[in-house]
Amino acid sequence: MTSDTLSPAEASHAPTARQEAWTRFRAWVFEVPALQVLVVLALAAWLVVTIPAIANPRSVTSILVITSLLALAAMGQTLVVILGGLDLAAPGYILFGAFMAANVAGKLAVPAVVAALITVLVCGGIGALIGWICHRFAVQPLVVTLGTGAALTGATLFLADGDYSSAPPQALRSLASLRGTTFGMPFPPIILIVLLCGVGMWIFLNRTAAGRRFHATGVNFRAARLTRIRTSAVWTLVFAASGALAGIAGIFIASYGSGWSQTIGEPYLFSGLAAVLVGGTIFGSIRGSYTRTLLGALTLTLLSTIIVSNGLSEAQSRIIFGIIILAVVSLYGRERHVRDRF
Amino acid sequence: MNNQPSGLVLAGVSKRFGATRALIDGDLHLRPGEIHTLLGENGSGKSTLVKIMGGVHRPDSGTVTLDGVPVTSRSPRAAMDLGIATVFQEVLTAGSQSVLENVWLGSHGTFRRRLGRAAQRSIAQDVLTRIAGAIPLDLPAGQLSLSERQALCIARALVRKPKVLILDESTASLDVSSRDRLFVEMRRLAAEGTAILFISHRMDEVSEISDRVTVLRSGRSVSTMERSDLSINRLIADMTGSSGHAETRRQPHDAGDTILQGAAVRLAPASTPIDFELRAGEIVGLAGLEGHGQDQFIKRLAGVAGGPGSVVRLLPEGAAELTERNGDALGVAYLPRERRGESLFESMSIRENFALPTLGKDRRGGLLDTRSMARRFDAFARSLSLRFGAAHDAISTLSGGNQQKVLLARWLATDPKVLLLNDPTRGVDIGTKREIYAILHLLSAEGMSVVILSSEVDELVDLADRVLIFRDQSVFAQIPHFELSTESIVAAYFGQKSEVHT
Repeated sequence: MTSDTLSPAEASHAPTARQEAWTRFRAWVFEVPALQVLVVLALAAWLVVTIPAIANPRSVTSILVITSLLALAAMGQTLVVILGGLDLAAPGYILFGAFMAANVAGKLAVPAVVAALITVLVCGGIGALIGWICHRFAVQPLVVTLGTGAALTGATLFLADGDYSSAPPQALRSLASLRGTTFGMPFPPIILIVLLCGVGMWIFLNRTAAGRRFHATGVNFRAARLTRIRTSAVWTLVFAASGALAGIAGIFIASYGSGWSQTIGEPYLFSGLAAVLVGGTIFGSIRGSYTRTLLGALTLTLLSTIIVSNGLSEAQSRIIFGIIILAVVSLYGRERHVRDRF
Repeated sequence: MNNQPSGLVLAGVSKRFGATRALIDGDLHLRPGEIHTLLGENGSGKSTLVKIMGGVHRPDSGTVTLDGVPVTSRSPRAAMDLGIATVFQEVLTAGSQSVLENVWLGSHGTFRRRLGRAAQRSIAQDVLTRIAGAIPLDLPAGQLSLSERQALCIARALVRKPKVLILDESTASLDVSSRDRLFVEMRRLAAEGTAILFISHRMDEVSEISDRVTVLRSGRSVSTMERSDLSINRLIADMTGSSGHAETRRQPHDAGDTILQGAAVRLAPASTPIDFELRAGEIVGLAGLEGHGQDQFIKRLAGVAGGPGSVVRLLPEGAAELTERNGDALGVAYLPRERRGESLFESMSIRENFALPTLGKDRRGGLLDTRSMARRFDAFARSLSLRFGAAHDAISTLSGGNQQKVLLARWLATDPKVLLLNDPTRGVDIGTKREIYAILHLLSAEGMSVVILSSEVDELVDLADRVLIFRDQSVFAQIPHFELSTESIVAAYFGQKSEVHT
């Protein structure tokens, strides 16, 4: 052993002050979603300045309800992305949830709670199967979720048998109705539900052993196995949760819209994922949280409100969404762990 | 012509990979018509030297000349065009293509074949027959045996009629008759003027075939011997570079009861089964040349790899088979080899990296008590004299040595009775190494059993009560404490059982 092999630290050259500032800024961006908060504030300010009429309780409630629906739809996706995967079955789950909600009174003739329970069991069960398969056979969730999602969509349309006219019962509709109230307060329960979900997710991810093990599985799968984390359980449960949560989101989405259609879930795949990424959650990383997704959903809703109220078309709004996601990913989307997976 | 040496000459060649100096001063003169053997233990710079000759790496300094002309190969292909053909240890064949296509793989231009089909067939048949016997040319290469595929790789180099032929452990997968045929062929080629560089980990092969031998140690060429001067003892002494150095040897001591037992553990289908007993308070070393089974064996002991035979933990209440999951319950901890790939959660904090397998101890009413985690971590940080900024910093902010200490603490926190360490001091600075040794001595004195796989011979001599040497996926020798020396270990690496007396 010669001494010159011993000090790898010396080999790294000193970074310039500018590089260092940039590195520290990026580290800070990783650490707290401060940037996301700033963006939300800036967009809100812009909205209020350009359209002063927006600053009334009705409009604010409307923005928050739409944000809540998006955040609910993106909840499971957040977990899957933290694990390093993608759940493309989300539109299928949402469609199934919407179908169940719309047919509570009609075809099914069961209480709304039972319909919700069936949704959780079916979507959760399918998700569990997906997670187990992806883990057991080391296949990309991309492929499995895409296929399963398509099959679930088809099955739901088969069950619907061409009838898209039914609507969720009043009990469900009031949960997401703009005129709804929560314990007498002038906003619909969905906003409170999503906020409680946010708190629950924060506690789960940061303050439970299961949450830390789940994060660790996303950060380094091989190391997680060798650290005796039951990775197969983690994968199965996460995809099950993703399915169940998207199914529940479907119920709320149909309730909000007072009806459903064959394509009700589709917009939520793209914008749900966008909410996760704009929030700053990174594939397979410790930098992922539901708080970020909430901020991401709020950002996107504010943005689309601005776009719509400026008279831009759906096509234009999609272009702007796309550009924003690219900008976000180029800012903090790169981490080196992706190649360590499997 | 006279003042320029013919053949391939490497002079003062060095190569650095990041902070590692793989080759410091490589000298080698490969003359036309000779069979020249290159010897060295793990990490001595052999493969770097070969890769420089084969055009895979470019040297940082020093010169490479072929018949007096400087060689500046930019790619393996360019080296090949100069007449330097390398056969690597890895058997590389395209399984779905025919034997014939495999022999000529890479010899064609994109649009032009250099030889007619008939000529290709006859040359391929001829060369293959001489080293591997009759192999049908139209069979898919995937259906051949490992030995035949290895022969195919050698044939691929031979059909190019190289000036310089490099055989980098290419005999490792050959069966005996093919190897004998290859040796005949090597002698014939040498007689025709081909320069052959031969690398093997089998001393019998080395002494049988070599005209000259060059020994590499720690990236330097230390000696070149003519056939008439060859002695295995001298080769081993040159490889280890030791002439009785002072060591801080471990004192022999009495071991306790058997606590871990492997029975008929087989690492490869045809290898000899291994029976193994680990006693309380013992430190057992595992060693061997890279890829000879020691890595697989420690994984079997840890329960993270499966295979024939059984590994059981002997407890007062009975024997229990080890699996990937029950290590915690059975008091067995395994520190994997690849720190980044298999152990670290790089973006997670130091404290969490420490606590992950033992999070259950910090649970209060279903939630994590971060103060309890901090207390447990601080206790270990103190006793391992860990140097870090703040415990909530990412573990990637630590040096390699301190990361390794955190990982050691991670597993010690599981209160193991058996600690399995897979090359724990690799890439760790010398100071931390010493600290880790001291910790291991202390733990074994307290009755913990340690199995340590190491690629550093000195480390095993200083630490272990006994060392198992692996060769060809079986235990080749078990060296007891009183016979432990760098010489005895390295001799066993190369298949020599007779201990060297100095």
